[in-house]
Amino acid sequence: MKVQNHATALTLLLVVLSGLALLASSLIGVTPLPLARLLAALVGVGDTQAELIIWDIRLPRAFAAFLVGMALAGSGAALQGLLRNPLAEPGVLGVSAMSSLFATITIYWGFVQLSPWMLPLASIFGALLATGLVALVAPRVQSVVTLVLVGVGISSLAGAFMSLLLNLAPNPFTLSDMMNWMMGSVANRSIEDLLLAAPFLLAGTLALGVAAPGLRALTLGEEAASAIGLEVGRSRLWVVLGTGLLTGAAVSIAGAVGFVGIIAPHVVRPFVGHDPTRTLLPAALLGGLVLVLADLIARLAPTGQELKLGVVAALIGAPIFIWIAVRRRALEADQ
Amino acid sequence: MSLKLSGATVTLEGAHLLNAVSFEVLPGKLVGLLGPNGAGKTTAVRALLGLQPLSAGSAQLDGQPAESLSAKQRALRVSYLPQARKLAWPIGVREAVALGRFAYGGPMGRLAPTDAAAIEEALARCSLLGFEDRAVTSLSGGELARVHLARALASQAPALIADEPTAALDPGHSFDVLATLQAQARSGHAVLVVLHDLALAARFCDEIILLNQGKLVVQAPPVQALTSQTLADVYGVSATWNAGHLTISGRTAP
Repeated sequence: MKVQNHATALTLLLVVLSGLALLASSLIGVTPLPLARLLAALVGVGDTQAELIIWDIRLPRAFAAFLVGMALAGSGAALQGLLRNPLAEPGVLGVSAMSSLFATITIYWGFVQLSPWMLPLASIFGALLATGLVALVAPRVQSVVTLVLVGVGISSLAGAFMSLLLNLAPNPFTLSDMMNWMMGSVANRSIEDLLLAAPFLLAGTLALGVAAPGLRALTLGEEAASAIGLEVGRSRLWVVLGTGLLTGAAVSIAGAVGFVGIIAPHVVRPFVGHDPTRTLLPAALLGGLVLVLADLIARLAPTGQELKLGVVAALIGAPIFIWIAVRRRALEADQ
Repeated sequence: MSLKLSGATVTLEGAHLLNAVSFEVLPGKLVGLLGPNGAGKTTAVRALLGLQPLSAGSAQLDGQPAESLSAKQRALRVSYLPQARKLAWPIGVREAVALGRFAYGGPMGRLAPTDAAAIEEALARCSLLGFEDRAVTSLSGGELARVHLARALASQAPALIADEPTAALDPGHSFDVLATLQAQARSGHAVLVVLHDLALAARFCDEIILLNQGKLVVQAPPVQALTSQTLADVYGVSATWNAGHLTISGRTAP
């Protein structure tokens, strides 16, 4: 088996494809408009209606999908590097669920009215709580399966509290609001929503940037990584902080969207020589691309009710997750 | 560069894993750390590196307390091959060996031309040329052991500690690994190697440190350390020396 590294070419390709996908989602939509009007609006010389549709509705929504995808896939890649496990991902480990639980709580008791920062802060708190818990447990349980089970447990716990809140919801408005967070959607997101999440996305990206070189060292296992000069504890802290901030910010934009964090790194890995450090950036870009396309499907699918992004992502992602898990067992049996 | 334990004691839940153990590994020597299962070999190695907190005594790397060093400072002084050696991802052989230069890397983990030279040299010394682009998961046990050894050599640290580098290797590959470690010692490095194979240790090591139940039994050249009496007491095996070679013939009568 030869190891190949096409990280730079892959990154460039994904940047181009992401650009095209963002462009496409600003041009395609439920309201049919002639291409000339749309293109004019895109470069700022169009009529008000077209400009409104592109700049206030379609582009913020497409960018929301892109940023959420990047944040989740980047978090997934980083967690996989830290835990040396291709099944680790914010959704699987219960990070997204915990984060949306805290988001839902702020909506339920109306804390969101206090300040627009409440929602992102609560989401990030929930995400950090779950990542911290997982990182605390991970070194003790050497088994991959146990760790995933711990994640399933965290997920179920968050899910149970969420159901409790739904159960006790005082009125249908709160109920539908909360359903949105649970299913994951980027419909009707504004530039303001994105700006609110931006500082956290930026901070999370920086934290993962600091942790990135250490992920390569962790390929050897924690003891050997420490022997070659990595402060393992510090690495763990940066990854927890980075994935907590990124996942929390992503959830504050779109609610819980699963499986992007597992698929994107998995697809990217063979092209970058399986190096966990080089996986980060292309995986994040691919995650963004995948969610922009998934959101296009959600928007254009001929269904009475608009599909939720999280539903589309899960429908595509869950089968792939099962496939990876089964193949992994086959690989382990070989050794 | 010397590695030194003075009166090192490690107590875990009331049990002495190490009991006032003192020894020193000097530059230019290949020293074998021996002892039955559970004798405290790995604990001693981890104590030496400052990875295992001591309840009494001290561990010194070149006169400096081991636990005061950062991971990076320690890596620049000692390269350490721990026991668990499975890699998490199928990365390439060259990249795995390049990890030995991790402590030299810049802020983004970039490596300089001197690093590349050290990696090339280590690959050549462990006969890995031609394997550079193979995935580490596709290697045989012997090849993987050479990759790990190459990684340790690539760091060019003045001391080297290897915990059972010959575990799961056939005799031929074990000889290769010990010969490489011996050459490393001859070139002025302090080399400490944990071994289970007494004959192999007797053949290659300049000195033997023998541990039993957390205590130091003896530190001496092989002929003096591994006497028939000592081996009978510590391992419960009968052994004889013949023209400089140690032969283990079986279990002693209880």
